[in-house]
Amino acid sequence: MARRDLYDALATSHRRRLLYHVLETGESTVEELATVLSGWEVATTDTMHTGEDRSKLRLHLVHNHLPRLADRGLILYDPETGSVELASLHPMDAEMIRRTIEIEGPDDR
Amino acid sequence: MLDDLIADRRGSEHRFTVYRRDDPPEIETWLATHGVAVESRSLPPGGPPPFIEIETDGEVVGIIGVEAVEGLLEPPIVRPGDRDGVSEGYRILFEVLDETVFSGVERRALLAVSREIEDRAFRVGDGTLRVSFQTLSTFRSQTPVYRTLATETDLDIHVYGVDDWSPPAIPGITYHAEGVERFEPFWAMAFDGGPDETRACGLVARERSDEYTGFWTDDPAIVGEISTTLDAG
Repeated sequence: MARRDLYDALATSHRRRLLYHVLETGESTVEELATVLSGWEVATTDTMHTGEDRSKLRLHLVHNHLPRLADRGLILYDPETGSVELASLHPMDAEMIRRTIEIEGPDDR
Repeated sequence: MLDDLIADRRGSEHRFTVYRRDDPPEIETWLATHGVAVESRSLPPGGPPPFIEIETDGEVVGIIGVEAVEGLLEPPIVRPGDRDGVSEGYRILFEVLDETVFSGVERRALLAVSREIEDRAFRVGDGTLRVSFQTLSTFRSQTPVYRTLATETDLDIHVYGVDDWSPPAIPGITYHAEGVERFEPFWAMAFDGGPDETRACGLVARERSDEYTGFWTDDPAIVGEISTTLDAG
Protein backbone atom coordinates (compact mmCIF):
# COMPACT_ATOMS: atom_id res chain seq x y z
CA MET A 1 0.00 0.00 0.00
CA ALA A 2 1.26 3.43 -0.93
CA ARG A 3 1.73 5.95 1.88
CA ARG A 4 -0.65 8.38 0.23
CA ASP A 5 -3.36 5.69 0.28
CA LEU A 6 -3.00 5.45 4.05
CA TYR A 7 -3.01 9.23 4.42
CA ASP A 8 -6.17 9.45 2.35
CA ALA A 9 -7.74 6.67 4.40
CA LEU A 10 -6.98 8.56 7.60
CA ALA A 11 -8.14 11.94 6.29
CA THR A 12 -11.58 11.95 7.95
CA SER A 13 -12.57 11.26 11.52
CA HIS A 14 -15.18 8.67 10.45
CA ARG A 15 -12.59 6.66 8.52
CA ARG A 16 -10.02 6.89 11.33
CA ARG A 17 -12.55 5.63 13.85
CA LEU A 18 -13.84 2.97 11.50
CA LEU A 19 -10.31 1.67 10.90
CA TYR A 20 -9.48 1.81 14.58
CA HIS A 21 -12.60 -0.17 15.52
CA VAL A 22 -11.92 -2.84 12.90
CA LEU A 23 -8.25 -2.91 13.88
CA GLU A 24 -9.11 -3.54 17.53
CA THR A 25 -11.97 -5.97 16.96
CA GLY A 26 -10.66 -7.74 13.84
CA GLU A 27 -14.05 -7.83 12.15
CA SER A 28 -17.31 -5.96 12.16
CA THR A 29 -20.44 -5.31 10.13
CA VAL A 30 -21.91 -2.26 8.40
CA GLU A 31 -24.68 -2.12 11.01
CA GLU A 32 -22.29 -2.30 13.94
CA LEU A 33 -20.00 0.33 12.42
CA ALA A 34 -22.92 2.70 11.81
CA THR A 35 -23.90 2.37 15.47
CA VAL A 36 -20.35 2.61 16.84
CA LEU A 37 -19.50 5.70 14.75
CA SER A 38 -22.79 7.34 15.74
CA GLY A 39 -22.16 6.49 19.37
CA TRP A 40 -18.60 7.76 19.17
CA GLU A 41 -19.82 11.07 17.82
CA VAL A 42 -22.62 11.64 20.34
CA ALA A 43 -20.61 10.46 23.34
CA THR A 44 -17.75 12.85 22.62
CA THR A 45 -19.90 15.85 21.70
CA ASP A 46 -22.67 15.45 24.27
CA THR A 47 -25.35 15.30 21.58
CA MET A 48 -27.85 12.73 20.41
CA HIS A 49 -28.38 10.98 17.12
CA THR A 50 -31.80 10.09 15.80
CA GLY A 51 -32.47 6.97 13.78
CA GLU A 52 -32.27 9.17 10.70
CA ASP A 53 -28.82 10.51 11.65
CA ARG A 54 -27.59 6.96 11.97
CA SER A 55 -29.13 5.99 8.61
CA LYS A 56 -27.33 8.89 6.90
CA LEU A 57 -24.05 7.85 8.45
CA ARG A 58 -24.68 4.27 7.35
CA LEU A 59 -25.26 5.45 3.77
CA HIS A 60 -21.94 7.32 3.85
CA LEU A 61 -20.24 4.16 5.01
CA VAL A 62 -21.80 2.06 2.26
CA HIS A 63 -21.35 4.53 -0.59
CA ASN A 64 -18.09 6.16 0.36
CA HIS A 65 -15.94 5.08 3.27
CA LEU A 66 -16.13 1.31 3.06
CA PRO A 67 -15.54 0.95 -0.72
CA ARG A 68 -12.77 3.53 -0.47
CA LEU A 69 -10.97 1.71 2.32
CA ALA A 70 -11.45 -1.61 0.53
CA ASP A 71 -10.00 -0.13 -2.70
CA ARG A 72 -6.93 0.97 -0.79
CA GLY A 73 -6.45 -2.51 0.61
CA LEU A 74 -7.04 -1.64 4.28
CA ILE A 75 -10.18 -3.70 4.78
CA LEU A 76 -12.09 -6.53 3.16
CA TYR A 77 -15.66 -5.42 2.62
CA ASP A 78 -18.49 -7.60 1.34
CA PRO A 79 -21.40 -5.38 0.24
CA GLU A 80 -23.67 -8.44 0.00
CA THR A 81 -23.38 -9.54 3.62
CA GLY A 82 -22.21 -6.25 5.09
CA SER A 83 -19.21 -7.92 6.70
CA VAL A 84 -16.06 -5.88 7.25
CA GLU A 85 -12.68 -7.40 8.08
CA LEU A 86 -9.26 -5.97 8.60
CA ALA A 87 -6.85 -6.64 5.72
CA SER A 88 -3.38 -7.77 6.68
CA LEU A 89 -1.69 -4.52 7.61
CA HIS A 90 1.95 -3.69 8.04
CA PRO A 91 2.57 -3.15 11.80
CA MET A 92 3.70 0.39 11.02
CA ASP A 93 0.35 1.15 9.39
CA ALA A 94 -1.56 -0.34 12.31
CA GLU A 95 0.52 1.81 14.65
CA MET A 96 -0.27 4.86 12.55
CA ILE A 97 -4.04 4.20 12.80
CA ARG A 98 -3.79 3.83 16.59
CA ARG A 99 -1.72 6.99 16.83
CA THR A 100 -4.29 9.09 14.97
CA ILE A 101 -7.00 8.02 17.42
CA GLU A 102 -4.79 8.85 20.40
CA ILE A 103 -4.00 12.26 18.96
CA GLU A 104 -7.62 12.90 18.13
CA GLY A 105 -8.41 12.73 21.84
CA PRO A 106 -11.88 12.67 23.27
CA ASP A 107 -13.10 16.04 22.04
CA ASP A 108 -12.08 16.13 18.40
CA ARG A 109 -14.91 15.65 16.01
CA MET B 1 -60.16 -3.50 35.79
CA LEU B 2 -56.46 -4.09 36.35
CA ASP B 3 -56.17 -6.33 33.27
CA ASP B 4 -57.45 -3.45 31.09
CA LEU B 5 -54.81 -1.15 32.51
CA ILE B 6 -52.13 -3.68 31.54
CA ALA B 7 -53.68 -4.22 28.08
CA ASP B 8 -53.78 -0.44 27.45
CA ARG B 9 -50.05 -0.17 27.96
CA ARG B 10 -48.90 -3.01 25.73
CA GLY B 11 -47.65 -1.21 22.69
CA SER B 12 -44.25 -0.75 21.19
CA GLU B 13 -41.32 -2.78 22.39
CA HIS B 14 -38.25 -0.84 23.38
CA ARG B 15 -34.80 -2.32 23.56
CA PHE B 16 -31.67 -0.67 24.95
CA THR B 17 -28.16 -1.76 24.00
CA VAL B 18 -25.32 -0.37 26.06
CA TYR B 19 -21.93 -0.21 24.33
CA ARG B 20 -19.20 -0.07 26.92
CA ARG B 21 -15.71 -1.17 27.90
CA ASP B 22 -15.94 -1.92 31.61
CA ASP B 23 -18.52 -2.40 34.30
CA PRO B 24 -22.18 -1.68 33.56
CA PRO B 25 -22.98 2.01 34.09
CA GLU B 26 -25.67 2.92 36.62
CA ILE B 27 -28.32 3.44 33.94
CA GLU B 28 -27.83 -0.11 32.62
CA THR B 29 -28.27 -1.64 36.06
CA TRP B 30 -31.28 0.55 36.69
CA LEU B 31 -32.96 -0.45 33.40
CA ALA B 32 -32.24 -4.13 34.02
CA THR B 33 -33.66 -4.10 37.54
CA HIS B 34 -36.80 -2.38 36.25
CA GLY B 35 -37.65 -5.07 33.73
CA VAL B 36 -36.51 -3.08 30.66
CA ALA B 37 -34.97 -5.11 27.83
CA VAL B 38 -31.31 -4.13 27.99
CA GLU B 39 -28.20 -5.82 26.68
CA SER B 40 -24.59 -4.82 26.35
CA ARG B 41 -21.83 -5.03 23.76
CA SER B 42 -18.18 -4.54 24.49
CA LEU B 43 -16.10 -1.77 22.97
CA PRO B 44 -12.35 -2.04 22.46
CA PRO B 45 -10.07 0.05 24.69
CA GLY B 46 -9.24 3.45 23.25
CA GLY B 47 -12.60 3.60 21.46
CA PRO B 48 -15.61 5.78 22.19
CA PRO B 49 -16.93 6.57 25.68
CA PRO B 50 -19.94 4.37 26.60
CA PHE B 51 -23.20 5.04 24.77
CA ILE B 52 -26.69 3.59 24.43
CA GLU B 53 -28.61 2.61 21.33
CA ILE B 54 -32.40 2.74 21.69
CA GLU B 55 -34.57 0.62 19.41
CA THR B 56 -38.35 0.55 19.10
CA ASP B 57 -39.94 -2.43 17.41
CA GLY B 58 -36.55 -3.36 15.97
CA GLU B 59 -35.70 0.05 14.54
CA VAL B 60 -33.01 2.40 15.86
CA VAL B 61 -34.65 5.59 17.15
CA GLY B 62 -31.79 7.15 19.05
CA ILE B 63 -28.17 6.94 20.11
CA ILE B 64 -26.99 8.87 23.14
CA GLY B 65 -23.94 8.90 25.42
CA VAL B 66 -24.22 7.29 28.84
CA GLU B 67 -22.83 10.43 30.45
CA ALA B 68 -25.51 12.56 28.77
CA VAL B 69 -28.29 10.20 29.90
CA GLU B 70 -27.03 10.13 33.46
CA GLY B 71 -26.77 13.92 33.36
CA LEU B 72 -30.41 14.11 32.25
CA LEU B 73 -31.40 12.06 35.26
CA GLU B 74 -29.66 14.26 37.81
CA PRO B 75 -32.22 16.42 39.57
CA PRO B 76 -33.74 18.73 38.57
CA ILE B 77 -34.92 16.56 35.72
CA VAL B 78 -35.79 18.62 32.67
CA ARG B 79 -38.28 16.74 30.59
CA PRO B 80 -38.46 17.26 26.84
CA GLY B 81 -42.15 18.17 27.08
CA ASP B 82 -43.78 19.16 23.84
CA ARG B 83 -40.94 21.19 22.41
CA ASP B 84 -40.50 20.79 18.68
CA GLY B 85 -37.48 18.99 17.45
CA VAL B 86 -37.23 16.69 20.43
CA SER B 87 -35.93 13.54 18.93
CA GLU B 88 -37.79 10.29 19.15
CA GLY B 89 -34.94 8.81 21.18
CA TYR B 90 -35.30 11.37 23.98
CA ARG B 91 -39.05 10.96 23.96
CA ILE B 92 -38.74 7.20 24.25
CA LEU B 93 -36.07 7.47 26.89
CA PHE B 94 -38.40 9.50 29.08
CA GLU B 95 -41.36 7.34 28.20
CA VAL B 96 -39.40 4.33 29.39
CA LEU B 97 -38.32 6.15 32.52
CA ASP B 98 -41.90 7.27 33.24
CA GLU B 99 -43.67 4.09 32.45
CA THR B 100 -42.28 0.69 31.76
CA VAL B 101 -44.13 -2.26 30.42
CA PHE B 102 -42.49 -5.54 31.30
CA SER B 103 -43.28 -9.16 30.68
CA GLY B 104 -42.01 -12.37 32.20
CA VAL B 105 -40.07 -10.76 35.03
CA GLU B 106 -39.32 -12.53 38.28
CA ARG B 107 -40.66 -11.70 41.68
CA ARG B 108 -37.24 -10.31 42.64
CA ALA B 109 -37.38 -7.54 40.01
CA LEU B 110 -40.85 -6.50 41.17
CA LEU B 111 -39.69 -6.41 44.77
CA ALA B 112 -37.06 -3.86 43.78
CA VAL B 113 -39.70 -1.64 42.15
CA SER B 114 -42.03 -2.12 45.14
CA ARG B 115 -39.26 -1.03 47.49
CA GLU B 116 -38.82 2.15 45.47
CA ILE B 117 -42.52 2.94 45.68
CA GLU B 118 -42.56 2.24 49.44
CA ASP B 119 -39.41 4.27 49.89
CA ARG B 120 -40.88 7.21 48.01
CA ALA B 121 -44.07 7.03 50.09
CA PHE B 122 -41.94 6.92 53.25
CA ARG B 123 -39.92 9.98 52.23
CA VAL B 124 -43.00 12.00 51.26
CA GLY B 125 -44.58 10.78 54.52
CA ASP B 126 -48.13 11.74 53.62
CA GLY B 127 -50.86 10.62 51.23
CA THR B 128 -52.49 7.31 50.40
CA LEU B 129 -50.71 4.07 49.60
CA ARG B 130 -52.75 1.13 48.31
CA VAL B 131 -51.17 -2.28 47.94
CA SER B 132 -52.61 -5.55 46.68
CA PHE B 133 -50.68 -8.49 48.12
CA GLN B 134 -52.69 -11.17 46.29
CA THR B 135 -53.18 -13.05 49.58
CA LEU B 136 -52.88 -11.65 53.10
CA SER B 137 -50.32 -14.35 53.96
CA THR B 138 -48.02 -12.77 51.36
CA PHE B 139 -48.17 -9.64 53.48
CA ARG B 140 -46.77 -11.54 56.49
CA SER B 141 -43.09 -11.12 55.54
CA GLN B 142 -43.72 -7.44 54.76
CA THR B 143 -45.35 -6.62 58.09
CA PRO B 144 -42.22 -5.00 59.64
CA VAL B 145 -41.76 -2.71 56.60
CA TYR B 146 -45.40 -1.64 56.68
CA ARG B 147 -45.39 -1.22 60.43
CA THR B 148 -42.56 1.29 60.00
CA LEU B 149 -44.38 2.99 57.11
CA ALA B 150 -47.57 3.30 59.16
CA THR B 151 -46.07 4.40 62.47
CA GLU B 152 -43.35 6.77 61.27
CA THR B 153 -45.42 8.68 58.71
CA ASP B 154 -48.89 10.12 58.19
CA LEU B 155 -49.54 7.72 55.32
CA ASP B 156 -53.00 6.24 54.95
CA ILE B 157 -52.22 2.63 54.00
CA HIS B 158 -54.69 0.17 52.49
CA VAL B 159 -53.73 -3.48 52.11
CA TYR B 160 -55.76 -5.77 49.83
CA GLY B 161 -55.53 -9.55 49.87
CA VAL B 162 -57.54 -12.73 49.97
CA ASP B 163 -58.13 -13.70 53.57
CA ASP B 164 -55.84 -16.65 54.34
CA TRP B 165 -54.05 -15.21 57.37
CA SER B 166 -54.96 -12.75 60.12
CA PRO B 167 -52.65 -9.77 59.96
CA PRO B 168 -51.85 -7.78 63.13
CA ALA B 169 -53.81 -4.60 63.76
CA ILE B 170 -51.55 -1.62 63.03
CA PRO B 171 -52.81 1.98 63.35
CA GLY B 172 -52.68 3.60 59.90
CA ILE B 173 -53.23 0.33 58.02
CA THR B 174 -56.66 -0.77 56.81
CA TYR B 175 -57.06 -4.34 55.55
CA HIS B 176 -59.47 -5.21 52.76
CA ALA B 177 -60.23 -8.91 52.45
CA GLU B 178 -63.81 -8.68 51.24
CA GLY B 179 -64.57 -8.93 47.54
CA VAL B 180 -60.91 -8.89 46.56
CA GLU B 181 -60.78 -12.34 44.89
CA ARG B 182 -60.55 -10.69 41.49
CA PHE B 183 -57.33 -8.96 42.55
CA GLU B 184 -55.71 -12.25 43.56
CA PRO B 185 -53.63 -12.69 40.36
CA PHE B 186 -52.34 -9.10 40.64
CA TRP B 187 -49.50 -7.45 42.41
CA ALA B 188 -50.61 -3.83 42.42
CA MET B 189 -49.50 -0.66 44.19
CA ALA B 190 -50.57 2.97 44.03
CA PHE B 191 -49.07 5.88 45.92
CA ASP B 192 -50.78 9.20 45.16
CA GLY B 193 -47.75 11.35 46.05
CA GLY B 194 -49.50 12.96 49.01
CA PRO B 195 -49.38 16.76 48.68
CA ASP B 196 -47.22 16.52 45.53
CA GLU B 197 -48.73 14.50 42.71
CA THR B 198 -45.45 14.56 40.79
CA ARG B 199 -44.26 12.04 43.38
CA ALA B 200 -47.08 9.62 42.50
CA CYS B 201 -46.06 6.14 41.40
CA GLY B 202 -47.62 2.76 40.95
CA LEU B 203 -47.34 -0.71 39.61
CA VAL B 204 -49.65 -3.39 38.23
CA ALA B 205 -48.43 -6.88 37.47
CA ARG B 206 -50.29 -10.08 36.73
CA GLU B 207 -48.79 -13.35 37.89
CA ARG B 208 -48.64 -16.32 35.54
CA SER B 209 -46.60 -19.41 36.44
CA ASP B 210 -44.26 -17.49 38.76
CA GLU B 211 -43.65 -14.72 36.22
CA TYR B 212 -45.13 -11.27 36.18
CA THR B 213 -46.37 -9.16 33.28
CA GLY B 214 -47.47 -5.59 33.69
CA PHE B 215 -46.14 -2.06 34.04
CA TRP B 216 -44.94 0.50 36.52
CA THR B 217 -45.60 4.19 36.13
CA ASP B 218 -44.93 7.68 37.46
CA ASP B 219 -47.98 9.09 35.69
CA PRO B 220 -50.37 10.52 38.34
CA ALA B 221 -53.45 9.87 36.15
CA ILE B 222 -52.62 6.18 35.73
CA VAL B 223 -51.73 5.87 39.41
CA GLY B 224 -55.17 7.37 40.11
CA GLU B 225 -56.80 4.68 37.97
CA ILE B 226 -55.00 1.90 39.83
CA SER B 227 -56.04 3.44 43.12
CA THR B 228 -59.67 3.79 42.07
CA THR B 229 -59.79 0.20 40.84
CA LEU B 230 -58.43 -1.14 44.12
CA ASP B 231 -60.65 1.16 46.16
CA ALA B 232 -63.77 -0.06 44.30
CA GLY B 233 -62.94 -3.55 45.59
